[in-house]
Amino acid sequence: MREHKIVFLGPMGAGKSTAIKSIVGLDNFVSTDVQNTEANRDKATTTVAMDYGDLSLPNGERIRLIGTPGQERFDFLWPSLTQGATGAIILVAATEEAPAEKMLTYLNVLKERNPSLPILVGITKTDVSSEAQIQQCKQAINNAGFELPFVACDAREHKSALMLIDILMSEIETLELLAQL
Amino acid sequence: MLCNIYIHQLDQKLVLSLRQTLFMSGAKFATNIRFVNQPNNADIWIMPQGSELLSYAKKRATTRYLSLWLCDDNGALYDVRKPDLMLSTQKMSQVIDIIVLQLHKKDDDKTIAETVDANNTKLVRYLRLGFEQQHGKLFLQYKEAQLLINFSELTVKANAVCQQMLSNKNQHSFDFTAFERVPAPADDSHLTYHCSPFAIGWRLMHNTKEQRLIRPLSNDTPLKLEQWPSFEQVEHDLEDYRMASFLQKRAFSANQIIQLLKLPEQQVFAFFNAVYITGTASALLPEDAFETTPNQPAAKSSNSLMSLWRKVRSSLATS
Repeated sequence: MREHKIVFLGPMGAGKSTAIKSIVGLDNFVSTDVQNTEANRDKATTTVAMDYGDLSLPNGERIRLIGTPGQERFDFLWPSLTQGATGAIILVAATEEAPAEKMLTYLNVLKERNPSLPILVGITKTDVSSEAQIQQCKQAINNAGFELPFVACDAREHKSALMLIDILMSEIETLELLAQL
Repeated sequence: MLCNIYIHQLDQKLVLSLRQTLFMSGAKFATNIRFVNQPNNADIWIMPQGSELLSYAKKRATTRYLSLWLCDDNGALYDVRKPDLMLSTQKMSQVIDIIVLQLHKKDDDKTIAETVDANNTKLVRYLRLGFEQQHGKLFLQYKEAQLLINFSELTVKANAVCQQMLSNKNQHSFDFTAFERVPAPADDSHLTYHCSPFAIGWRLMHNTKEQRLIRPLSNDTPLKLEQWPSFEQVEHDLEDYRMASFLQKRAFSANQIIQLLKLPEQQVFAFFNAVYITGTASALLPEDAFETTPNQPAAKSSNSLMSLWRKVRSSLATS
């Protein structure tokens, strides 16, 4: 049975767990959240291993949504969690200090490991940031030469979280078809 | 962009002064200014208030829906469509911005919409230039609908009539080409509806009666996205993501996208028009299009991940 692994990456508090939960619903979601002990973060719980969401496709194949832990001390998990991924979604909160730099860090790591991996960058918590900040992030990614989707989303909203997968599926389709042309 | 200007019988000193102002305005908007000796085919007319010309201008302006503004030696403006010529006078801020006359006559002109220009290339040029340069203001009017786009501040204001027209989703309710450029009002407090320039460009192109590509685009003009469109600001669907994804990676023409993604012509045209007019995409030469062959495999096969996702998605969306 074929599986399609989609990995969510990003700093702590970006909304990775929330997005996966919004997409698959509580019944298909497994969390490894524990109480957050990082003093500089206003967040009650945080992921320490990985979050997992599961969707069944009509032909028996499955889409597995994997949420990686955001703390830098778990960086060593990224290679194994992204191994064999069909696509990746990078989420960074607009409230993060230097969000564009964070996005570029994740992008560079992923592109170095797998240059042809379909990737989408999402910026969350845009309700407490300005349009100018969002545009700056978009521009930074463009200027760095990355030709990939950049979207503002609300990880808490089902529709907005589904949009992430919609766009990533478009990216996967595009790259597959371009490879045949 | 080339702009032909015809100046009719003005004092030589004023002509020199106007030319200087126009050249400066042209440089500011990256427009090549050319002064022509004949009024036919001029983009802009500048003329003194005189009975002969005024009579001609009024005749044209009342029989057709024209943007025609006259200025006098003091720089006051007159809207010749008004019965009382002394209405709407105001000082010129930028000559190039306010005196516009569409001269190309079409024999089959019957309705207001048609008389401006069947494809209103001027309006497309103004919008596209504003989005590209992110500079200046554009005030548009169509009957009672008014729209003020501030490209410098990336803001848009509209009155209630315009808002209603733009939000009339997928009804193809208005003729976007009928909008004309007019002098911006000194007081814009009646423009209470605010949105982003991208949203306006998108809605103009998706709600318009126009169901073809706007000039200078043709079915074979390849477009390449400069950046991902701000979809969160507009109504859109999965097919728009697919087109954006393709055009972000490689340059494709509308014909190629129709073939590769098996999408309806009208949806592809609306998308192409919107991303072009908002400056989200660049138009390239036909030879710059990514090469495809007529028998290219299309994207929709029933066992592709996208097709499978569509089926799952429809159930998720309602859950």
